[in-house]
Amino acid sequence: MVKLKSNDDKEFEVEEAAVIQSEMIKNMIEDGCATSVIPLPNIDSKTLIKVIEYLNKHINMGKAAETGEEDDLKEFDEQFVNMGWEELFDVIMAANYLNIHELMELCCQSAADRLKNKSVRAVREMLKITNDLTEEEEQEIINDAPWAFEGPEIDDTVN
Amino acid sequence: MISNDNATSSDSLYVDEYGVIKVSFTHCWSSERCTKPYRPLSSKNTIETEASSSESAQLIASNNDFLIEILLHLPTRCLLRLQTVSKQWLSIISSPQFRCLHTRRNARSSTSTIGLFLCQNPTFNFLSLRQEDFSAMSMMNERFSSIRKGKIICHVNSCNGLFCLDIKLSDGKREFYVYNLTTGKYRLIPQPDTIDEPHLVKTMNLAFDPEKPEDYHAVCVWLSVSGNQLRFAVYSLSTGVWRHSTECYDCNEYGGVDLCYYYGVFWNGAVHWVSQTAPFLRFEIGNCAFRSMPTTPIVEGQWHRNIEYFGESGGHLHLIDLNPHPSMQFDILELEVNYSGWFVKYHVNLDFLPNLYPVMVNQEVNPPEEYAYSNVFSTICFLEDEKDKAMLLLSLPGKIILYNLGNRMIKELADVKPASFRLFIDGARYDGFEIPNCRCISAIERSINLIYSTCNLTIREFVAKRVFPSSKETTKYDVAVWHKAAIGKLLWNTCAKKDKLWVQWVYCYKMEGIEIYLWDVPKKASWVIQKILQATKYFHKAGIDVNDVAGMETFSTKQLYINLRGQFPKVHWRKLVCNNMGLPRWIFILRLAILGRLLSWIGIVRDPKEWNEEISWTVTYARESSHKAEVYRMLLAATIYHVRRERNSRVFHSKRHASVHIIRHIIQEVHVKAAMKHRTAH
Repeated sequence: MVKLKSNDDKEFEVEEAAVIQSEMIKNMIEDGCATSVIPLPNIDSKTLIKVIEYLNKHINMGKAAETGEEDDLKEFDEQFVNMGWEELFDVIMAANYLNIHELMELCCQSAADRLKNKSVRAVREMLKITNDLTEEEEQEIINDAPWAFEGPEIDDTVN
Repeated sequence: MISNDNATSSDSLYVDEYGVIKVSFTHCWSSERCTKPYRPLSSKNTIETEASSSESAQLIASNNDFLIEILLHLPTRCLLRLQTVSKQWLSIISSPQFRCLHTRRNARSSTSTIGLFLCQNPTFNFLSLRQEDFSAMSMMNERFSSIRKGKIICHVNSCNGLFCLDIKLSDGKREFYVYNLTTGKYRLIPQPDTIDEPHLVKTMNLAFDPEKPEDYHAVCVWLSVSGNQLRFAVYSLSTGVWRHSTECYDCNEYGGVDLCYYYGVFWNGAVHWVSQTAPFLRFEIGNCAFRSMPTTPIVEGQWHRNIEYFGESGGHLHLIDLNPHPSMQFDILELEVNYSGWFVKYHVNLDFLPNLYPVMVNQEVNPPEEYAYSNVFSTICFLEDEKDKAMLLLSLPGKIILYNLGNRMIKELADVKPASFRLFIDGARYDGFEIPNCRCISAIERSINLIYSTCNLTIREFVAKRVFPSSKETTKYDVAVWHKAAIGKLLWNTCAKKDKLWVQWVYCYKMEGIEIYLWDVPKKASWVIQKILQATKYFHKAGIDVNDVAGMETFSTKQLYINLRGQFPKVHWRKLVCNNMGLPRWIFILRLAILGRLLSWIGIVRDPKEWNEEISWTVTYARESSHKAEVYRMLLAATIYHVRRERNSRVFHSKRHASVHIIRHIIQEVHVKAAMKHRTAH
């Protein structure tokens, strides 16, 4: 068992088999630095719970493929990323910090799926980005590839 | 058998400006990506997002690394649109590095062909295989016709989403353009230089591997009129250099007039051509040379093959030979990856087709010889995706259909003219569909942008870089030359220091009293002595008169060494490699890299961009012995070492590591090394 400590001083016990999916912790364990509690100063407990949930589910990736639990895992992944933008970004940052490749992929794909068919305005709204391009610049880009800006599938709603 | 599933897709009708082609979608050829369920956020989550001003969202949105990671997952079309979100997004998405990464990433994910161009001279019409691409593609098609500006496009060929346009000018000359349909950028491929004999350019073929998007080529095949030989030249679109193959294909010897008339097929680092009569040909881009390639046999009693289709799909080369007669049963051959031979991948039986489409059947009672087919069809292309879902795109009189070899379903894609049997044979079949003008464009999403990310090199820069490389700049300590200088010193010893015991010994026993000034080497002397005496030639070389040697007061090996080696200026970057705390192998690689040899050492000719600026920056800012500078130097060495190691692991072990993983590794190693230095300092 490995003890992880979030930035709000809560400790979590995780099985070593689960936690070594994180490259960072794996390296720490290999280097023998993980004898006591591992402090994770950039991750709050809410996010850490999410990450641990993911790690526990994905504990034996290879086995799942053999026993036909792949669909189960897929379903879990789908459920897992069903969260708010903020939460998702927290998980992305945590996954990046802990260096968990699969989780990073999963979350980035989910974020990309949300942005995929959105209009520019909707994307700005969703991510709270202010437009600092001048109108001429914007028009130039649109003229460069007009076909990217039109189409029935472009969704202008923010959700 | 015909799926006319109107429930899944609404019919849409498209009549082009000429009214030639009518495309009606009676199906939905949905992609995997399309069917992936999109999960809308629950209303609770929406409230949450709006309630908090989402600190981490802003953090992510303002952090390039995370943003890039997310944007890489988006399709090209979205990216082009999202460029207008903000300046930051624009700079990320339009950067060549990002585009390279995106192209490479998508090269692995999907290999599906999204549609094809039908050539009905003089117009090109796009036929989309998927409905979702339709609106986008028809707009691309408009642009496609706008770039030719009234010129005649003779041929179009595509390679993984990039186009090569063969445009005929009004004075009969031909121009070739690379054209990126996705971005609308295009570039002229210049005529091959240094051809000073009458020639005829037969084809221009693109060789673009999405795995290596920064390095792509055009292969030009030209016929030397006097020698009746086919010659080959490769143009690198990233460096702008023509390479001419020293080999040529002799048409007198092998025949094959039709060889290279059609566009070749790029696959596996080589361009492949088939011929109806001659052996097939493979031309490797990398070493600019021919290789043999398995050829299908010509049926006995015939003098030619009847190749219906030759192309690449799903990472394999496929060939359909209809000999002896255009029958409704034929084999689809696939080439073994190791070029050991062709094997039958599918056996296709289309005997049921004429029942469904009576228009295929020849109903004339006594047709003239040239129309004496019992029924006709033409294979436009064969598509196979990763999951071995195989489809044949067939053209029948008046129809284009897609036949799924797996579930034997037929989908009608388009109605085309002409509808009559005779017209099909001498009209559409030979005019429109059969010539590889309508090669499928595969996975256009791959080629987000290559053209403006590469080759802004002017001629002057090019000459400066290629013709006068800074070869004299070297810190290399030449041991062999040093040894010669050291032997020179021994010679001086024998001349100038006759009081020394070993010199006297040499004179007594080995030279038997011969005066050394005679400079002829005694045959009886031992090998060592001979070597020493032969050292006079080194003095000659260094510009020192041998007769002066004995008169020298002192002798400096270093001076002789320098004379022998020649004077080189000290390189300005010596402080980077000397006393660098990094591991020796890092420094070795760093030195190679500074010399610009690292890439050529591993067989890459192209220069890295902005490397010199990088180095001069480092030289200016990281020369002193502050800890920061020291760490930076180590980091530089470590980074280069690890990048190279990753390259090796990809090439030799076909193992990939994520960039993040490598970066972490570098940080760890540098950390450990720096910590060691810290410890020893205290």
